[in-house]
Amino acid sequence: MVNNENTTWSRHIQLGNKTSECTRLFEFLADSLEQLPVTKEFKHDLKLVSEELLANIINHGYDSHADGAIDIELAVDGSSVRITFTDSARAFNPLERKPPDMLNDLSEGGMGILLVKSLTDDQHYKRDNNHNVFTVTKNYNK
Amino acid sequence: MSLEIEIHAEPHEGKRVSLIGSLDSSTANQLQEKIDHEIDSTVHMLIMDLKRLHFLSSAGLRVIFKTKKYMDSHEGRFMLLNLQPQVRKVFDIIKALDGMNVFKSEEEMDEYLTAMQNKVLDGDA
Repeated sequence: MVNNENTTWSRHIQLGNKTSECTRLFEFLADSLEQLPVTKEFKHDLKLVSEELLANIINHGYDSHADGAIDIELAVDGSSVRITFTDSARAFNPLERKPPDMLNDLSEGGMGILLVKSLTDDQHYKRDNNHNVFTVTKNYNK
Repeated sequence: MSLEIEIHAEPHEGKRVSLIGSLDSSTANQLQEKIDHEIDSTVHMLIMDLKRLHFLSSAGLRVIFKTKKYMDSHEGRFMLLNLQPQVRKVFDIIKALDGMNVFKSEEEMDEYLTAMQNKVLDGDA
């Protein structure tokens, strides 16, 4: 599947609204990134970022027991990997989350999005046709 | 990905919690339940051994911080041991290691514990 002229190739998976879907997410990433000329650390970073974004949608977007789908598209061009998460949960922009309170209470939230911002080169959220669309980009030819 | 949790008794009324595999949003509850069940205020020292932990996300970090907070609440010691590079990186980004006892190896931890024990024997602590 080719979406635009800048995309070399892309892959897609649909996950359910439950944390046990982490396993399928990790398998999808491992398969997709296997042939890319990137380091283990690069792959690990994207795995962590994707896990954080999936958990965000499950915990803050959908109600805990609501059925809901999460579509993930991974697109690769010659210099970067772009991963887009699309869900139909209530509007939720993770970039608006408060940073964690480092001094007093790290058991509260905000750590996930801090990791996402630290480990990717670009993050973008939009609300589009009643869907949350969140895209992260990580460059590998710097 | 899965998580295995091993809990063993240690000297100084301590327990060692060894984590094997992946501590993420699908396994964090498993650790929380185990901690709630096995760690109480009679445990004065808790060593979290991360030698075989290959993946850690913020859901797992929250359980680790809660456990430290619980140990602090009854003046117990909380120690992190054998952080692997990819796990250490997560702690570093969150800047979460300040104020924590972190040891690279068993030897380093043993030296620390011996020094603490000597302090107690000398009446300094």
